[in-house]
Amino acid sequence: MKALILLFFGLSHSLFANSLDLAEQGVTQATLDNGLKIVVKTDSRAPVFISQLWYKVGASDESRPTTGVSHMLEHMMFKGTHAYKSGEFSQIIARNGGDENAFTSKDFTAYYQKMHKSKLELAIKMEADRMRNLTFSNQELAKERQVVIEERRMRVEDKPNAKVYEKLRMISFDKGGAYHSPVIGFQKDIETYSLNDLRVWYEKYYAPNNATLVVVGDVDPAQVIRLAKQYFGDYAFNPNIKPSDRAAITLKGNSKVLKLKAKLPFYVLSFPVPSLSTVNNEKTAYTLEMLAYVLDNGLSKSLIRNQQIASSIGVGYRLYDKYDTLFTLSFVPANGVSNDTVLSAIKTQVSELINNPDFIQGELSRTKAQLEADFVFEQDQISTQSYYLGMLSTVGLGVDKMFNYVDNMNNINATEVSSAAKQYLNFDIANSVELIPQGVK
Amino acid sequence: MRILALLLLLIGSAHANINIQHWTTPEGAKVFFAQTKGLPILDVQLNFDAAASRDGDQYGLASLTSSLLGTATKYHNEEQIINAFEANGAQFSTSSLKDMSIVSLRTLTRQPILKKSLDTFTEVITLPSFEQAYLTREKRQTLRAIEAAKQSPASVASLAFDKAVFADHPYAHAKIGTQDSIKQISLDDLKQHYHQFYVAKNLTIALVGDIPKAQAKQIARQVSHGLNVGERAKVNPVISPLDKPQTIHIEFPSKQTHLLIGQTGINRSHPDYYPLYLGNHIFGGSGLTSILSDEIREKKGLAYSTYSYFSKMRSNGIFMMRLQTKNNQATEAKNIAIATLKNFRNNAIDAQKLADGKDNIIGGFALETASNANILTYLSIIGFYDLPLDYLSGFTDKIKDISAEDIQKAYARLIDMDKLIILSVGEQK
Repeated sequence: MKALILLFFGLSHSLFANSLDLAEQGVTQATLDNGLKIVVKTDSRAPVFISQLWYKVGASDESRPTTGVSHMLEHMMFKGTHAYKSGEFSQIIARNGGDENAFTSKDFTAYYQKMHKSKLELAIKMEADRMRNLTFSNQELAKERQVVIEERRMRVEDKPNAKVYEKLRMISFDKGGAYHSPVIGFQKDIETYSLNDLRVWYEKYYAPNNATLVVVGDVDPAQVIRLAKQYFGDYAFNPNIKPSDRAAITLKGNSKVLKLKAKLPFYVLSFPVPSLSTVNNEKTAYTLEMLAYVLDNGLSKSLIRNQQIASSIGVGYRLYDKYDTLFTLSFVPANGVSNDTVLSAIKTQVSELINNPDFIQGELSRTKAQLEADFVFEQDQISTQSYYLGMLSTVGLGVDKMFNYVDNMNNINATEVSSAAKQYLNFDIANSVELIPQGVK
Repeated sequence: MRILALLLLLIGSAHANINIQHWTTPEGAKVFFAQTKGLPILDVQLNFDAAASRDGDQYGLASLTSSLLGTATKYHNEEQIINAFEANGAQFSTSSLKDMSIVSLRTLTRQPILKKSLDTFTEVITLPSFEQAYLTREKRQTLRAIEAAKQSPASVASLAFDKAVFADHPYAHAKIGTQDSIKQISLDDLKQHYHQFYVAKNLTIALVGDIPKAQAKQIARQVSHGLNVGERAKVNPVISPLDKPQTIHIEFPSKQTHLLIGQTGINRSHPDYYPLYLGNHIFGGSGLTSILSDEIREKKGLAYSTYSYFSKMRSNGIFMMRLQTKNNQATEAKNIAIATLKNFRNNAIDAQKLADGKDNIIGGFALETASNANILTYLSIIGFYDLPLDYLSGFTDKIKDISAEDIQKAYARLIDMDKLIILSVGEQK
């Protein structure tokens, strides 16, 4: 790892340090006159590339009655443009050896093609075409709406734990802001939005100055930029795109009980916290990230392996969310053990951490060793590399965050982790959802 | 636009240039190694023929044995082992399928990390100490997992399909076992399973990473040396074709009905392996562009996910079409899926579909070996299933000359439309 620990937190890095570091990592960045951002990372281990186009739009921009519209539009992006009929995008990419798909989340919508390096122009040309030329057909929408409802049934309705998480977001975020509604949308909204809702969304957000093109692989950065200019360059800058004003409004102290047809109980807690984007001092966000790792490892050891009162446990923090976010704790109690028993064991361990930071010294140094190795392991997949580059660019943090991550995490000490636990893990104001199984034959 | 598409078809295809080195350790473990450059990583995967098909009537034995590897050794306890891997940033994992029980390590190649990680790995696999406390805990965890599977219609369906298609074959039971079978398994059973199956002659080692061959040889030797030589496990009987059709419905309180339709499949030495591979890719194995997805999803909007596959296991696997749709559409979806298969079986596909399928496989073949993780999987399959060393480099040549008639005839030989298993899990009452 290139050590960059001399840089101050919370300040912008100097252009020199920044560009030097990125160049060392094989990263080239450019912005076209119309605002399209381009990030290229060369990786010539295999004669392939992944090309991803990221749009700054997702569920966090949505509200009733059109929740899920970003995701629905993602589906419709495969349904034809003026140049290609429905399904032809996928067919052409496939017959050229490509593997393609798309994904929608809270803060972004992204499309990708993985192909042999000789197909770079095709991928960029076709992705550029559908940024502007989508044909909206009612007939296609009618079918695709059913597909998305089936997707919701599969991902959420028939999965008890997914319903718990959906409910957790609803009670942890105010409906007037981001992150309240599910990415796939509420079923009622999916059933009702019109072709015009989709068209409006497309016109509003699918513009070069709201997108980042990321290419990772055995490519020449200059050629990527030239092709991007050739195929995206004529699209006009859209002056109407403004930064979103729908920040997340976190709530506290809410709890819900869900009685569902299930076999296993499940319990989830959420604590409102800032993300790297919203925090005053970036170090606080990295400290929360470290707290999540240390607690996840520590609770697995004590509750699952030693005391054997939980059969699974998970601790989560969304470092890269665009708005204020959640620190979550979830568990399935062991057979015959009550949720309260597990909860009180978790609280005991958290207070131990607060009262005695030395308690986690060993865990902390091992976590740092793991994170440093994981950073190298993640370079093995071009799709993982491009995911981080695209996501960081899209949420506005900048791609250098990817390469500073390990150094930033290495800077966290036990006292800071302990203080973060004390400041943020206040169980009296946590939100919670409890699943009480109603039995399945 | 059409002209462009045609021109693009003429661009030359990639070929895999992975140099696979193969040798056998003095103890009899087969080793498959590929040196990759560019990342300071080493992956080691040990594949033992020690999985659920070796359970006998002790369902869940192989999975439990696998889950106890890493809990204790002759010299170290569980927390010491976990800390040793974590302190070096190494990733250690075990998993157990029906054919293969897998023990794997991913580590940096920097010293002393590499040596320390490999030493812990070797100790965990060659000097395990099976202890009652860990077995008791892992049994409780397994019983929880058995319950978890019961709340998922997809899992319920998969387990029921295996039971129907594999009948009395060792593949038929759930690899994690049942409430009853788990309770009966003792520490001695685990020790016996380990003693018989975790032996050098029953092991293939896959190694991928930025180390020279001499070092790979030394690592393979280190792992293999601590194991008993033992014997290779006897080959399980080949699964015979179904003798009658079966329609099975399992009532389940879900919004969707999961439909699984299929029959006995093939193994990797089947004479029609390549036509069936290409055929399935075109029929239901290539995502949105496959025929099945086009009929079920694109034309009708009946399902989000629909696909078909051959699970190519040692003693023949399964052929299956799979989808899930809201309960009251299940019959319509079932009829379309079966009609689509029947048509594919009885009539040769058109030239465009054939060309598209080949172009996707051949043109995208470089993606198959684009990461160390991908290469590791291929080396494991080549080693474990006794495939030729030129399996990867010769793959596209095997695909390119297959005709539509080859595919149709291969399907007609294998697929018996009158003896399908049609299994549904959902709320039909």
